[in-house]
Amino acid sequence: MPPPDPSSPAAPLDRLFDPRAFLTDAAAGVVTDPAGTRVIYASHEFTRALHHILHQEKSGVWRDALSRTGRACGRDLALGLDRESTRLGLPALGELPLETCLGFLERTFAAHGWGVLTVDLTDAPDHGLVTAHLTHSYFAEVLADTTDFADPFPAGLLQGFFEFISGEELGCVEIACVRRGAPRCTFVITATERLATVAPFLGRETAEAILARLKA
Amino acid sequence: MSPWNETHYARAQAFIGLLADAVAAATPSPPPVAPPPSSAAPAPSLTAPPATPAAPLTGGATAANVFKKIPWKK
Repeated sequence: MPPPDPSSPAAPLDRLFDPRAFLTDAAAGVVTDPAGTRVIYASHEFTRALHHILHQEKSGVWRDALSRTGRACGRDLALGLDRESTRLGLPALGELPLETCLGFLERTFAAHGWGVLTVDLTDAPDHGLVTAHLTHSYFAEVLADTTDFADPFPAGLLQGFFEFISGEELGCVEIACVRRGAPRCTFVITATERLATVAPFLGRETAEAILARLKA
Repeated sequence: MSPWNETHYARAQAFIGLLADAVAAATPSPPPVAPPPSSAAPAPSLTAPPATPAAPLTGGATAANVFKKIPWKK
């Protein structure tokens, strides 16, 4: 383990994002994440099989199930960070500086292997739109045989996280995906009814064109 | 689509809905708004390099304040 960097004081919640903090008890057959929750490693084959089965059952079931599950996990993620922060005597998640709060979200994505997330608030003040970009998406890489949007789980996760922080009921859709030829996966978060207006254009127009429609 | 498939698919979707609802039910409901800030100490910076901020929305504002001001419904 490298020595701590004296110029970068240890942050109380850093251990939650430290991959070395995953504990494996081989004798007991138990792996726990840094928060102490028991986890298992899901292989590519498992994810591909689940996608295949749900997709064969009915088109849209995979997207619906993963999106709803992601939303629950996103709220759980925010709630867990909130509780841990409070337990340590720090401000609640929503009362942290904006950069810190978004940093937690981005580090969580990376720590769990979902990819590299970047949140962009450029269009938030004037247009009520939050965009997020994901590179190295796990689902986009694993579901290599699909040409559909591959990331309903991260979309749901973003939805749940931002609903918690804002106190608003929001929606999130993926508007560009590596699996559809885009250079990176892009998501937009805003009011659900606004997203419904661009639903017919998903997969038919670029992320930039869809964002332009939302801003018009 | 055959009638058998219609029934089967409907049952599969119902199952998925139940699964997602169960996940959601297992997740404690967060409060609708974040609690007020602690007056005991100023908010410390918890991360190393911060995320790239959008200039109009930063300036030391808390995350909750920023996101509550966003005109989501425009």
